[in-house]
Amino acid sequence: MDELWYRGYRTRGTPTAIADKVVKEIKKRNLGQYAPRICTEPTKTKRPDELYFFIAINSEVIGQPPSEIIELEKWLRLQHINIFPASECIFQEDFKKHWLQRFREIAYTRQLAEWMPQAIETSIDYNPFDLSEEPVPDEKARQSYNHLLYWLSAHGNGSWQGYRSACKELKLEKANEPRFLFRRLRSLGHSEYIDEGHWTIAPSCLVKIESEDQDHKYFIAGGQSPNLINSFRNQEVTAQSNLGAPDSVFISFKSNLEVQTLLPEISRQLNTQLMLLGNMSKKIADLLPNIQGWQQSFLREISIFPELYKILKWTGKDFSKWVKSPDEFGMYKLTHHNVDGIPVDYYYFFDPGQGKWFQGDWYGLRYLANRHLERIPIFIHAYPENYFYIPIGDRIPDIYERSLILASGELPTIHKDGIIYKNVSLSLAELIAAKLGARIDRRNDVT
Amino acid sequence: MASYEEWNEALLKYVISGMPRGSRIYLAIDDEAINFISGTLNTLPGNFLEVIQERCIRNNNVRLNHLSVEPIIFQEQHHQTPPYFGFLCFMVLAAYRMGDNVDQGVARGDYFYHFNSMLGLPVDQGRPSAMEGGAEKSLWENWNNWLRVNGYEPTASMRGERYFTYARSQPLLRQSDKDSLWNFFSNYQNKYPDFLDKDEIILKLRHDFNYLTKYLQELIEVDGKLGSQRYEALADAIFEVFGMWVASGKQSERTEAFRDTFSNPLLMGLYRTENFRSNESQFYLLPKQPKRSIQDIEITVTFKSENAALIVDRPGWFETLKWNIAIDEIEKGLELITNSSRVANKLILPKRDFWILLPDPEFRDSGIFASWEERPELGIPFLLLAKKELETDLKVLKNEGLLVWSKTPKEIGAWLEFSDLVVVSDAWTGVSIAQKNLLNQLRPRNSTTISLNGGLKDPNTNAWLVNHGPEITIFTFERDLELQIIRVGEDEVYESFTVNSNDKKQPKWDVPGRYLIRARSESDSDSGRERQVAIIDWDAITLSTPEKHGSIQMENQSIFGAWVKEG
Repeated sequence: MDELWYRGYRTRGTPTAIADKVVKEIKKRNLGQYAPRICTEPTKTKRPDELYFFIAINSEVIGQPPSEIIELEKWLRLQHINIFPASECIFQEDFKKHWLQRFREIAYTRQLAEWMPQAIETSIDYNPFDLSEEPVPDEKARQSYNHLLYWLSAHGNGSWQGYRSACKELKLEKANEPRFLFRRLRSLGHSEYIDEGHWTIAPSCLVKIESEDQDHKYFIAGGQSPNLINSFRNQEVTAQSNLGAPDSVFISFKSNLEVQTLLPEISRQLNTQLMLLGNMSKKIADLLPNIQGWQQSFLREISIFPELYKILKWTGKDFSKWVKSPDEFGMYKLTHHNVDGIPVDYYYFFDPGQGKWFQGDWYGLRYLANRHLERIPIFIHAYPENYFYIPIGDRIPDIYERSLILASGELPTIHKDGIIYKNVSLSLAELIAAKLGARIDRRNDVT
Repeated sequence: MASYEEWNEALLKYVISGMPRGSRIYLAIDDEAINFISGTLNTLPGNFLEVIQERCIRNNNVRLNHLSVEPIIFQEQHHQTPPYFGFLCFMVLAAYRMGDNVDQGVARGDYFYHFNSMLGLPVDQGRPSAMEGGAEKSLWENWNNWLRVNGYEPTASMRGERYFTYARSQPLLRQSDKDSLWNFFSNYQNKYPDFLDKDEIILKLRHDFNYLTKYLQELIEVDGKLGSQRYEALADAIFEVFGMWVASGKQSERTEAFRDTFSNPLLMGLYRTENFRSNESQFYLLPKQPKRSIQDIEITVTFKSENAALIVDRPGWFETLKWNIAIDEIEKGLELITNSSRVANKLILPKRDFWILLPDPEFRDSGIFASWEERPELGIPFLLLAKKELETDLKVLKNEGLLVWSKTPKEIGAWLEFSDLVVVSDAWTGVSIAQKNLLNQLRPRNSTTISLNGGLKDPNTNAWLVNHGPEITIFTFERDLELQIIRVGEDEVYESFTVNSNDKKQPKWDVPGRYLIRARSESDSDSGRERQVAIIDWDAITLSTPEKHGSIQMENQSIFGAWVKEG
């Protein structure tokens, strides 16, 4: 702001009433740019018959009021507000020295200069369940993936948008990477959705890895921090950034006794409850229903108005069949334009028997749709490596996949047109395949 | 008998508990406070003066050197109770007693008359010789810094070169003022219905100015004005008396039984998220923690035939309650019953015509908006949920150039949700709208905002993580502000910029430590606006407890991460 100078006025009345009156008139005349503020005495005056106040003037030449202010002064005189001698051009120091030791400043026209709207991104991710196009993970972002897991662990829970902001800060927001990343974190037992707007970290635990060597090897699932990881002496870390996930941390113990002794000690030191779990892979697989049961228990009914969407049906290969009104079991892609005109895709399952729409894991819906199209997937189990191969087009619902991943503590790798899970015993592979209505081929290798 | 340390701890809890980060903290330690705290310590009120005398008097003089501490630099120091805190509270108690005795023959300005008499020192000696040169100054400065480190705004300040004015800057309502306000509410109870909020009460008191005592008139005149530094604290203190008066069944006398602030109901705010499938706004209840809660209390609330325990989320706030709240419930207001007969027996969502919902102050980019604070800050976008009839008033404010928004408000029942409101002016004088309270609450508190956005924050230490510190944005009316980032403890300017409004700066934040961000213009007579930023290493983070209900339910078991739990 250029240097302001002042003109002083004298009148009778209370400072508040006079200020209100003058401010209203200045606003009415739209003189804010010439008279950006006034200074009055504090609300009480010891001299009820004599009130001083000062109008700040912004003009090209100091001492020369703009014509608009001259016009205003005519109106002021009609209100018995008169300029007083020696106050035609003064500065704040002058009136502080001579007239007002204490004063109140009323700035009534100030606005933020060059204020620019900052969009509030209340919903930057329209559909986190859309896993239709998987981006290639950034292998170089190993530290960022680890930091994301630590950050989630420190917060405990939060909003989906907060999670996305953290991904953005860590430069993990390429395309729709955060959605896939969250699915990977869930599969590794690190996190969960709470509802359709929040996430939570899972409890910190050591999960046993079954092996034929009868060793005592575990991996850390759930919340973790550098301090927790460094609390263990015999740790081994496997980078998974090429698969788009934090490191897998494996801990080896000499005996059961060592595990039982060390865990409570570390829990106490870190003031957290660290759980010791057995073979969770098998336990979860046993617990899971078959695919019909998955459809009944894991899908969530939603209420939508199909007439508002463009609807395409999954054909077994792609979403190329346009339908006006769905009347068959299957997975559908529903597209509409949001308030900002951006097309948003939703993927739902339709059950014509019930006339209802359901939402669930994207790969799970596709798997279910394929089963309704009478497609029987063929999985491969390779022994002695204990590799389990699932064709990429038959990727299984997330909770079944979690059961397989928890067998090794590592994400599956992509090999040709399939996904290979490690350390999956034949019995586990058969159990999962049976529940999902898939056939299983037993081989020596998956190539 | 309690020890000095026990008093120290209890006094700090009394002052800090229930106060959200960002609050201006006053040491409102009067005789009522001492009575209350002595009850929780199972001792007599007089014990406080005894322990102060024992700890701070040697050879008939004041001794403070053993209460001094090093300046707070490291993050881990921030939880420790300052050893001098009890003495500062004692200084404020003397200031309170000075206020109460103004009309009893003691000169108004004679602070040390009360100070000395309470310590058993010669009353007419003035400032004790061991305190010459303002020995208490470093303690007050350390306390102010302790507050900043913990995310609060300090309020203690010195006027002129008179060191005792630090203590004089703290008292708000004295016991006699509370009694007088109580009597006033009783005498004019038709004018003061139960559902008034604190701004409305202040507005009404300003209107009924002539009926108040002289001291109250002065308080209301100076501090009861919006924009005044002490407005929020005074409004809170008055609202507390009003709340107790209502809770007492509007008794005419403020007897001992009604001096216990704990019988007050707890207020709840609104917490708003957005369903990422439907984009629908979802509202939850956000309970405030009780103030002055020295002992930890377990509270369970009942709503819709279900129970839920109140879990501490952060200073001042419990976690949101699990129930989704419909707009008609917001419109009517809610009263939830708790299991507690004494502390916070009710939780109240006040019936209001509008709700100001601000971005989470600890995580601006979370997409969560709630009534964390009562007023928006200049330049920071916020949400407003308002009854449709307020749209006309809002348009007036927009036309006056005070507010801006661009998105069409979303209709939710008989309410409108404005999702991108921003206050762009601090010049609210002379504007007239029908809903005065809306005007009061939208008016910003400061005319310069230092906004800290982005980065990665550790919620447990309220610090940012190294290399992921915040971006700084300044909103101001001034030009060419000097923005300095100073390393606390080394007094070394880490980075320095000249900024104008809307400028964004992203320091590197590559060295853990504590930093002071200061924005100052040439015309600023005082130190300008300040914010503190702490940067910690990744090694310093701690694990938080996960949500209890974030699991996949099966028949009798549930899967939570890698864990299968029964039930």
